[in-house]
Amino acid sequence: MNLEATINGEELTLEVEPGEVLLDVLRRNGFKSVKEGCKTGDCGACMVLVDGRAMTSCTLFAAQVQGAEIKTVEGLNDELAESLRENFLDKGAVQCGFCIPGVLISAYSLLSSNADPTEEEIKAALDGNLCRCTGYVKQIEAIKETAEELGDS
Amino acid sequence: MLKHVTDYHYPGSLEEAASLHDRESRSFFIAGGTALALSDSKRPVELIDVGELGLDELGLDEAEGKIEIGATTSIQRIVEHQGIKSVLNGFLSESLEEIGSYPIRNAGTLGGSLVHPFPWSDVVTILSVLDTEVTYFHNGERKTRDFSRLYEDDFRSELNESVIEKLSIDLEDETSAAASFRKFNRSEFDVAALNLACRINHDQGEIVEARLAAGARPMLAERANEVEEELTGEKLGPELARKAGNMAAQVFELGDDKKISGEYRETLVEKMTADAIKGIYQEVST
Amino acid sequence: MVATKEEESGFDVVNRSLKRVDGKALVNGKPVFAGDFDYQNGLVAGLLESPKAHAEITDIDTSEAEKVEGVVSILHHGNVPRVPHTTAGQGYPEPSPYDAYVFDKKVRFVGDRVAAVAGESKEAVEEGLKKINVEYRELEPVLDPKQSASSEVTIHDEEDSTGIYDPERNVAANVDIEVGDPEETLQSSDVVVSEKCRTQFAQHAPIEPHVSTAYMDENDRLVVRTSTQVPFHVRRILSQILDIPISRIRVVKPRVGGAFGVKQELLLEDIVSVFALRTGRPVTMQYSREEEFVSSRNRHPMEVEVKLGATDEGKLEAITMEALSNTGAYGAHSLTVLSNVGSKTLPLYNEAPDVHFLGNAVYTNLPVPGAYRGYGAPQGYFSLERAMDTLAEAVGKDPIEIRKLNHIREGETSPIFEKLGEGKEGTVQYINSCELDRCMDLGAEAIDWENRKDKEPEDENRAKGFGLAVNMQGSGIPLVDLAGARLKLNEDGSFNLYVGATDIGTGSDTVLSQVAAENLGVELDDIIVYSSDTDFTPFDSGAYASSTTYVSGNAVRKASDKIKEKIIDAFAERYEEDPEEVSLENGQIIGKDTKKELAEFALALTSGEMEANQQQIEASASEVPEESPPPFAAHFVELEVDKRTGEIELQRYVSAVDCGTAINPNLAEGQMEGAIVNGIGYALTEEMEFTSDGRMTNPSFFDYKIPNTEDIPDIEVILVESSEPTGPMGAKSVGEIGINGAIPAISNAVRDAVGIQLKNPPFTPEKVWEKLKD
Repeated sequence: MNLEATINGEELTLEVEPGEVLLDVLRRNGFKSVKEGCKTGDCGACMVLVDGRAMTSCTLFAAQVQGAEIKTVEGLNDELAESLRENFLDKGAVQCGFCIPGVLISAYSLLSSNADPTEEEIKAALDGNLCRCTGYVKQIEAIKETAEELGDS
Repeated sequence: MLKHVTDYHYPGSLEEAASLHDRESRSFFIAGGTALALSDSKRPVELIDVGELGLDELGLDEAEGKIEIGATTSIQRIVEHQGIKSVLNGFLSESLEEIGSYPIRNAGTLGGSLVHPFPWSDVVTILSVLDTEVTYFHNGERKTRDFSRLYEDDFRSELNESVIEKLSIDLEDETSAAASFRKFNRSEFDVAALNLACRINHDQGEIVEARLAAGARPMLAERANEVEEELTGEKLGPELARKAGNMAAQVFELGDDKKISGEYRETLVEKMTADAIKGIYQEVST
Repeated sequence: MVATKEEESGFDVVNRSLKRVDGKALVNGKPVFAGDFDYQNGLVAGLLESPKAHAEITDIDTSEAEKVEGVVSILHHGNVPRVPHTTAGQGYPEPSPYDAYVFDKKVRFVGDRVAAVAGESKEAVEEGLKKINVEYRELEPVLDPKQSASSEVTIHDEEDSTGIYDPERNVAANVDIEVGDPEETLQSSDVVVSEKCRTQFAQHAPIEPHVSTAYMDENDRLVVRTSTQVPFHVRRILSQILDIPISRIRVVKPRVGGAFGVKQELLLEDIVSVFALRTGRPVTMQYSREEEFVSSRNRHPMEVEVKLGATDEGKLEAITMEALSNTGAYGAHSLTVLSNVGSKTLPLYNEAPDVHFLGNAVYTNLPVPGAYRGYGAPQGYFSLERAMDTLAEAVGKDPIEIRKLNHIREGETSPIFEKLGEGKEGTVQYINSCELDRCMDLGAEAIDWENRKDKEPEDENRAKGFGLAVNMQGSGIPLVDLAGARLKLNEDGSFNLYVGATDIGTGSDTVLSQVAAENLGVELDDIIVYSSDTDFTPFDSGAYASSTTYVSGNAVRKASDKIKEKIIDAFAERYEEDPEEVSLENGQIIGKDTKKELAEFALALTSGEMEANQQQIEASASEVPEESPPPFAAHFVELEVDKRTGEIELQRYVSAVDCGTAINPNLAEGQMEGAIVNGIGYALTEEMEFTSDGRMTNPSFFDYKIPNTEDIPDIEVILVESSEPTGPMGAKSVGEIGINGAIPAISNAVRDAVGIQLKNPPFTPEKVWEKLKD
């Protein structure tokens, strides 16, 4: 069957099986930032934005996003995304980097709907992104920094 | 994830969705898909997408004291809704936020949580203590049923054949109300090993109506009618909280599973009940 | 937070939290991990794993599987050469038994290898695996390490395995080291305390599972691109197993998505290599999360008993430590992890002259433990740090005081350094840098230790507790580790830095570049680092034993010293200066009379201007460490226990660590924070669970609970800088020490709060509740 969706701003028609999950479809079409860590919706490494909402692509059938707007980290290029990237690097919030695309998706999604989150709200928005390297401390700091920066501007 | 999906349908209406379901011997409705994601069934199945049928209206009618939630509204949207954040002092939004994780709440829908609920379902426990009505579509007809009757044995088969359309929560407030939700899990990113919801309608601290439900017992949520009756007419306070906890541990049917033992569940339900009622008491006193 | 030394550090590039050099690719989601590469004509492969804990394979019939469309090649014990080896990525000759085979006729745990299939698609491979018919003759499994030695069953009864301490009794390794006569001393000590604690099976759970690809390049050399900590060891072991010269193999490490020791191993590389050799096509294999839990590696569960003999004042006179380590079905890392239980712990308290360490690592038919951050130290420190608290209580001293009274100090040594290395004798070592007292003081201040008794929880149903654990680790393996580094000057004044050292997310590419930049007087951007490619970079043992900053860092420092000298000599000759009076600073070469931009001179060196005197300036250096200067850390925990339900709420975790100069403070803190959170999971929620048949019941994140953002307390890391004279720019390593504190500190804090003894992690609420009931 065909999947018609807008991925990172580009309208695409992709050939998919009814039972294929979005993670596999994205990766085999070159969107390698979307990582496979568990395939059970637990680790968050495969997260993407579907119509602006952060979701695990391994628990979505590709067919579910028919006509939707999908964004992966490759397609996030606005001020918010750049600020997040900059602060993640500045604060040392990136170690192995495998969880990072998923974390950036969650952070982007949070700050898009809540420009001034509390620490609790940041933690809640990241609660589906497992990281084994950083202990989360600097990731939370980086998001706070971006919120502050963009709040001032 | 389901391993063998043979066909994926996009019905244009509820009626079409329902008739597709009737026609296909093994088919599931899918909205967010988070419930299906936990199945690793290899049997061939067809999926019927109900996510784009406009069943995601979300509204709080303050005048009427009603919340209307379309079945395919995502959990997270409900959590973030400004109006709902102040309902029962945040009870609904805060308790729903305990569910799963951010991506699961973004994809998962209220309706999807209800048709084939997991025994650890937080949604079922939470709704059990609210005046909730479920509107569903079955055999070409639109029907409504009280949530408290949704999982009665004789209704099971009808439920399995239905598309849930919306929920309606009644917040009529002749008296004041306060509610509390508690969840015990092995870590913060985990389904409940025991969950508990409590709602108290009171008149200046005297309990007019009490609702107490516990789920993940490991079984699906049930209400503790005996405890509720005992609480009615009593004055809220720490001593009452303690007594209620004690009673709850006797009344709720609790068992073992691989997460925790039934005996431990007793201790937990005692503490969670006492803490919930004490919390409500403190909220009401300020 | 960095508590700097009194004097200004005076560094320009080192000791700065500069952005990591490989970070851009990561935040942009570039395809830089092993599983992100697409190969033309590539195949995928999968493994058939044993459903039995212990059995002989009496028949494998692949005829049906071969008929499956898309299946290209099938491997099993019948068609792959049998070469005994260890999968452990360690320096040659490896101190682990050679008891592993690519495919064996026997299976020794549920999840062990039976066969492998390579095919055109995942579906074809799955179909092929399903159609392989295997017949097993079941053998009795040994699942209790306490029964291993006395069991009638021999797990490794094959004749060709070597290096097993006592195969018949299922003992993979044994260590018995004594100094003085501790048993005698214990008889006469004023106070004797004893603690016996056990630790559980736990798994690293890197978010990226194991993934490897092998292909034949245009010159028919085998190239393996793999998520690994040990590219050079992988190359060597592949050469051994495949009987191919090392020169015909290239191993490349791309970005690695977390390792923590689980990738200090040859795990999938042999299978994909055999497939690539046989099919002539690129073959990729990736573990599913379930396979990652069951069929990769995990942490040795242990039971460790510590006895301390001390004076009335609390001064240690004797320590005995006895360890029983469960090394699962194969002996990779069995001896060395066991040795570390003692070698990384006992020297800390060198006050005791009489010491005995006795350890046995036994086989069981369970998933295989291997290298895991801490490498025996966490298990040893649990019992030791509990015993120290018990001693403190017995003599009426503060836990901090009892440590201060007994720990090793600058200028001191311990006989254990010499007697107990990693799997063999160690080396004599004196401590050159130790700020442990300051670590304890700063940590205590941060958590308000002094006033802890005054703190009451708001809720009367809860009790508050504070706990402490101190430890040391090491920085590399003396006389065993080898690191190489090479620098090449480019015509714009930048340098290529080639290191074998393996960045597995730790940031070593960045740290090593900082060392080079500092020494050469240039900026970090002027160093272009390339690492972990056996064709292009010098040898490096790999990312383990906390070796990279200290050992590889010294190799870089030496190489940069050498290239600096060569640049200065060339400059001195050109401009007739005395080399003694020339220096490299701020991107310039400064002589007595002449000063040039490095870039300008570098261009001249490779252009017609210098005619016959043109040269490509390069320098390389090796480093073999002679000692392993330990980092030191003090971990403090503040928590509350719900007395009704046993639920533990961690509130604050403060860790003060002395790792010498922190080359990159952000990265050093990051190492500590990550290790601390991993330690918290190990202490409170993580455990691999098994049926009575040896099958793991929770091989998923759904049921194996690792911490998420809401599980962490308020964490504060204090870098207490010291200066290690033997380290590059004064640095020591810091990769492992952070994981040693959580279990003992939490156990001690719970004892402080409610008086119960937690000796059996994970400390789940139900377990705590059971103890509270008693």
